[in-house]
Amino acid sequence: MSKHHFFCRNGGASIFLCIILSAVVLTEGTLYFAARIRGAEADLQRCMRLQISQILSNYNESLLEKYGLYGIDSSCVNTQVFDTCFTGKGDASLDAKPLGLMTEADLRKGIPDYMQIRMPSIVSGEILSRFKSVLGEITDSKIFQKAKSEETSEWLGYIKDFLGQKDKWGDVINSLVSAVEVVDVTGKMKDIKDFASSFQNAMNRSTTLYLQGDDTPAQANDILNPDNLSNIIGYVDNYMNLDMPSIADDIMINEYAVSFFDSKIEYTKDDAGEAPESNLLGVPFTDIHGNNRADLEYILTGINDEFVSVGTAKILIYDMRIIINFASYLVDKEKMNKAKEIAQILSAAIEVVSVGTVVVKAEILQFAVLYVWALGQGFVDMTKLIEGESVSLFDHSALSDQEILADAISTDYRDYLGLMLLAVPVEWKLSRILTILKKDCGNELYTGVSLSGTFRGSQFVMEDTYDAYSPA
Amino acid sequence: MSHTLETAIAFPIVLSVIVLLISAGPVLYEETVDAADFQLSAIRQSIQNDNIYFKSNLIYEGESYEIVSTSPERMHFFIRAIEDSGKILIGGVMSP
Repeated sequence: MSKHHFFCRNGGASIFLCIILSAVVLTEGTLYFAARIRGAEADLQRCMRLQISQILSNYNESLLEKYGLYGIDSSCVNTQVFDTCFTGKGDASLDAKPLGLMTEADLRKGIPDYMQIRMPSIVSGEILSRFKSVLGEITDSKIFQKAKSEETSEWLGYIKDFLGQKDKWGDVINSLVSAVEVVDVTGKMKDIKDFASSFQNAMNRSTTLYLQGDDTPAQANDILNPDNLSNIIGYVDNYMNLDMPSIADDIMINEYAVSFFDSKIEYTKDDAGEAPESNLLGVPFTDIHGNNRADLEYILTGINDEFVSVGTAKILIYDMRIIINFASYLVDKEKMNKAKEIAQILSAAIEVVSVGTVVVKAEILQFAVLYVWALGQGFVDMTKLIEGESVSLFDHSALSDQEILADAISTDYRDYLGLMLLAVPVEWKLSRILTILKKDCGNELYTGVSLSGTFRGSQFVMEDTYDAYSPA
Repeated sequence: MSHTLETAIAFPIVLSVIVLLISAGPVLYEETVDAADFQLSAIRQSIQNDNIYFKSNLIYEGESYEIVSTSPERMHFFIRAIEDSGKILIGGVMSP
């Protein structure tokens, strides 16, 4: 009897447990499955991110090397990384497409972004090239000769003297900082000062240690200290993301066009010799295209025919030289006097030939003579410019014995095209630049990538573009 | 041992195990969802970031975590800018 009861009781418990546990196992199984799916979805998005990074890393090298811009073409868009990384790929499908065909609007963001960080060195390089003769005098000076002759102790003495005049330099720096604060329209002065202060402290300590004979790599340690490094990188980020006024962007786009596009000039010449015409980074254009092209003239005129566009550019330069020469002659006493002498002779000659019937005043003829002179000199200048030589901006007698000043205001073919390009609307310039980029680097250039994936009925989309083109 | 006593002992044990099992699932699911959302937020931040080095805070389970996002593209861009600046300055002195 008790056995029967025993079985009855156990059976009841087993059935109870079977029912309850089945429900529990079912519920738990559903939740575990849902959690696994959610985890897999997160992993899927991680793998999509990796795939996007890989595609963006596969940029068009030609575009970056020749023109400093990031872009991809459709050939580098794939799903290899995703296929390798994602463990649940049996349930997933991924479609990768290039995103955002490169437009003038992208170039409007990308070109100033590229030029902004390089502008200080571009301006410095321009100043250095114009004052090369002064630079020659500096490098020939005693202090530099001492440095070259490896007289280390004397060289260090000069540095000590230089650093020892910090009271004088302090006044100069304070004046400079005050001036900069006045024109600090961007409000970034505080960041720059903080950065300068931390960097200055690190450098000051390192320099002192070095001069005391300590050759440990303190400088590297100070600069690579995480706090300093964070400051430095923060400063760099702020600088790179600095919003410039649109007029500054327009000027940088103009400078970019002048610096990176081939003109019909093959060689640039000076007293030291000649060199193939090169871009801003010193790469000859013939290495870039393999031939000499008139891209800059195309950007200026918008005319596809090279012969016509170069001809138009020459006429514009000739006109500009005539105007500048005529204006300089008007303020050049020496040339005015010469013109006056010629005008007097001409006036007399006209009077004689016309037997006194036609009288032209020498004062009027003087301006005609100056104009003809300007025409002739303008033609000579234009010929020199086309051959890659430089000409002084002003053909003034006072500059004949001022070699340094004449060097400083010497101009070449690109300078004139750059000046005239300022008159071309920026949208036109960007459109023409884009045409050349497509000609050189492929017709389809994109600024980003879009991934679209499905996983167990759910759809996932992820997009990213190069930071250079992303909105501020 | 009487049946009543057996039941009195077994019932809480069985019930506790069942409750534990039942509660483990939702907790695991919630944890996974939170972790996935956290990961997704970090991914979104890395997509939106356009700085070489950028710190921000994300909240996970009531605690704030500092997230560092980097942009290899901007770092590459910056290194190239330094390299180019050197070339430009040298070009300014050396070129005719």
